[in-house]
Amino acid sequence: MEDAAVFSTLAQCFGPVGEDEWNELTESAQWSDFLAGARRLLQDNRPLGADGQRLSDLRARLPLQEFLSARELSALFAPPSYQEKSDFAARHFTGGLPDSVVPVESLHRPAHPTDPGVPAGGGYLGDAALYVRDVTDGLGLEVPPAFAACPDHLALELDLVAVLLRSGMEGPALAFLAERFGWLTAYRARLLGLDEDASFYIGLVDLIMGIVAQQEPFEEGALNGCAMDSVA
Amino acid sequence: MSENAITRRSFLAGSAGVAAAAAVGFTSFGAWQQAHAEEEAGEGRTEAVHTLCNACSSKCGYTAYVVDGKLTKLIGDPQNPNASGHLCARGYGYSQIAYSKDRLTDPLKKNAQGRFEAISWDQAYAEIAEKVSEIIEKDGPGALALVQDPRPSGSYYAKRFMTALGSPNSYTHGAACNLSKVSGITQAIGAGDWVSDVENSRMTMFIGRSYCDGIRPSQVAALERAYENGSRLVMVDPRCNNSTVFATEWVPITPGTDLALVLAMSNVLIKNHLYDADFVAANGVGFDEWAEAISGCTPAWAEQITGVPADTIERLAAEFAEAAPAASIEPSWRGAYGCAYANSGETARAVALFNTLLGCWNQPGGALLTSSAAAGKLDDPRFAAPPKPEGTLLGTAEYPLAAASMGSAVFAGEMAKAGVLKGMFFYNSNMAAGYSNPAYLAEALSNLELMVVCDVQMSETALLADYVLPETSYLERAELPEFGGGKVPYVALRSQVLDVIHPNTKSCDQIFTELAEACGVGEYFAFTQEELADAQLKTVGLDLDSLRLVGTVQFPEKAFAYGAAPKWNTPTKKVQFTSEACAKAGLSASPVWVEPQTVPEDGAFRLVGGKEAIMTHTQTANIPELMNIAEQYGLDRPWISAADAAALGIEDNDECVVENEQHSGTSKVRVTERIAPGVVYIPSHFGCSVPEQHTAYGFGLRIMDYVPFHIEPAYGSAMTQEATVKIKKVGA
Repeated sequence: MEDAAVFSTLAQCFGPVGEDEWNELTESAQWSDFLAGARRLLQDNRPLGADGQRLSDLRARLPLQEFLSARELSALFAPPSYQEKSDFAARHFTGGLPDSVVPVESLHRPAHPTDPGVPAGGGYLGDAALYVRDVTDGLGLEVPPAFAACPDHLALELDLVAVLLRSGMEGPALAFLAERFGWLTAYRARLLGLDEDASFYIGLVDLIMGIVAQQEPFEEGALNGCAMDSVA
Repeated sequence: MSENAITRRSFLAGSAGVAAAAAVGFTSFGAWQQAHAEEEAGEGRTEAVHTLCNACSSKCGYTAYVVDGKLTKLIGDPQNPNASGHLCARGYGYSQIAYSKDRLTDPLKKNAQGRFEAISWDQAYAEIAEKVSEIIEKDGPGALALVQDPRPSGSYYAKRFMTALGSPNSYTHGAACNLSKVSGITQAIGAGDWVSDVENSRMTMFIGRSYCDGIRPSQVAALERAYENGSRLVMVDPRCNNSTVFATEWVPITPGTDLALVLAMSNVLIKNHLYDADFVAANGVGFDEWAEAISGCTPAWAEQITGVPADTIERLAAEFAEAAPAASIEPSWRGAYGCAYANSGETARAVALFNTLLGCWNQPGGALLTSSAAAGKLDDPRFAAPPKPEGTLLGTAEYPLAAASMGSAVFAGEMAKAGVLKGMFFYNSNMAAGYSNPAYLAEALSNLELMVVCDVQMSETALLADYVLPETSYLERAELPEFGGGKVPYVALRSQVLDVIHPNTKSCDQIFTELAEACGVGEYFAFTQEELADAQLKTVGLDLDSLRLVGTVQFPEKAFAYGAAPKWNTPTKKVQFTSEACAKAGLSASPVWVEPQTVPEDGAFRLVGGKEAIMTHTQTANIPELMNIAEQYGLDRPWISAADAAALGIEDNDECVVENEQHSGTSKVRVTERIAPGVVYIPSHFGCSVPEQHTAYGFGLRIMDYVPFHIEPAYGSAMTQEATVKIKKVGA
């Protein structure tokens, strides 16, 4: 259950939330709890959503410094205020601006990955978006209107992992995690290119990429389990 | 990490109800792709919608096929007279703007640091309205202006908004497009355009116009049929354009001298009594004066100016006489005299008079003055026009021949710089990059107290704005009916093809309606776009639902009929070989030779621009699918003649410096026999300087950087080709 909470928190960092919710989420104890949960996901040798660990699987407790730069770590320990988060979103999570780094998968994957003659960099509502929309529909969920152009928004993709975990669907959650977050490498590079300090978001992306890497040993089984399923 | 209310929060509605049993509803991406491909192949959920293209002003009708909410196929509508069943590459490519990663998604405001930030619509409207109110109170509504490239809804709503505010200053992009052509022709025949009956002609001359570059599919088809019919098709152009594949001959000409060619051909017809004297006597006024005025415009004289051999000019005139009345000079559009030179308006006037000498008006194969369909008067008081603003359009006094329906938008730019205009709105217009010198316009527009731009992606103009309002793409909005003319008048409809992709974008009718409400003039917008569209259509015996079903309806009962003598809507009700208005504006009463303003120094080349088959506007350059072709074929390269290149030691694809007093830039060049010596051609749509346009940014040279800011006397156009450049190999 605690893994789901980590993904929900990550989702809210990239998505639009109200001031009260953000203040509650980043309140000291709550935020420390999130960082601790994230650290465990980076370290534990267990599949996503599994409870506890066998003693034999326990490794030395590695601090977050192993995964993050000092600057990112510092940013993660001091999350932005609501105003800072809103201002960053207004400048960077808004389309069409010079410094737009909208966290949407379709925008950071090649439009035609199999055709080298076509320029890289897709547009809105690419295959990733249609896929996430169909998965969401299949689960009886609804993509909110604000995300109509981008069901593959990072916030929704993270949210979906949380929902799957909470619903006892660890296998699909792991399969989704394995397939959907590869674009974050390109996205991280865009965040790094900003003039403005984006350490908080880079740190979050590194956390996600670290979690994805940690889950690699368990992916194959999860993907095999989902491949035979059909769209509902 | 512990679960609680805040960590359980989800963006996905219904997430609380997901049960493990729903696992059957989950599929991997690979399995989904396979299922999705099969679904698309089966086209089980296909929806077909008739709509209109927006890649250029032709607005061709097509059927859009949508599968699972995504655009998958476009087929030109056979019943649409512009498309005739086909679309051009631009039309296909530009549809991808809907999904562009560079789409504007939220209203933007420039902050104190000069950077844009997203704001709410309410904030944008409130702040714009407050500033509008301040300007009106301080300087009057005449200190406000609008510039737009008209589209079906924009031409109604944007202008009505400006009128409701009390400002007469509504401009189109015409000053950088076809203003001189329309205005000059109007002085001669009382109409701004005609249709050359190309496919039925025995001879048609095109001056600087290429149907196969600025493509309207029906015109390409007509050209092809003319070619197959054995018509004599003459392309007068410094550039051997893509239409020349259908041409009988290419007549390369010194840029800006088309007027001399037309005057000389007219002189030949008159001197040799090869013109239709009866038609001229019955329909013209001032002929003798004009004949006398151009008596010295001999082919030998014109050869010195145009570079076209005198015997060619003599022959072309004789061939015209032989082919008449099934012959004409095609009216052109932007091309050589839409807005290009100090003599553009006068060239247009002379072309119309030349056709009059042929007696070809309304004759099979000649020049046809067709009518257009139009909505009738609307009785519903909600649609009543706002009171006519006091005063006249700024520029009317300075450029009295400029068509009032267009005005001189570049003069508006000058007035912004002078501080006369305080606030400007731009709709579907990239004036700062495409109308005249961008550096001048940037300085001029930066002087405004309020600048509002409505567009779908960031542009050079939007970058200068205080507020940018994001519009839905043309595929996501319905618009007012498009009434059109031609041999058979028609009405066509842009219907909404796709659901709105970005929820915080709005259609232009909604934006201007809400702006009007915020500015306190909402009473003039108390109707929906659908209500207005339906009311307009009912005046021509149709309704919105029925037009949606078919996309285009023609009015055969209003079809053009050959042979009927035109009614000349001039002050004299005649074809005006002399014009009192022109004389009053400081021009010759009848069109005579006017030198281009810019004469190349030694070693300099005349600069010309022009369209290419897949790219025509700055807006099309940011489409990856089109840019891919442009990159593959080096379509951004300036052209230079093989002879000039040899003299300068330049070889094909050499990196060269292209420079003049305004600008210097480098580019690979295309060395070709397809351009006249002494001329450099730069495509008119590249050189984007907006980093937000990730595809177009930095690709190619921008021709307007080389063009000084200046305005054509009397007509008000931007004189977009009154420029010279020098060219040299990098390092030479």
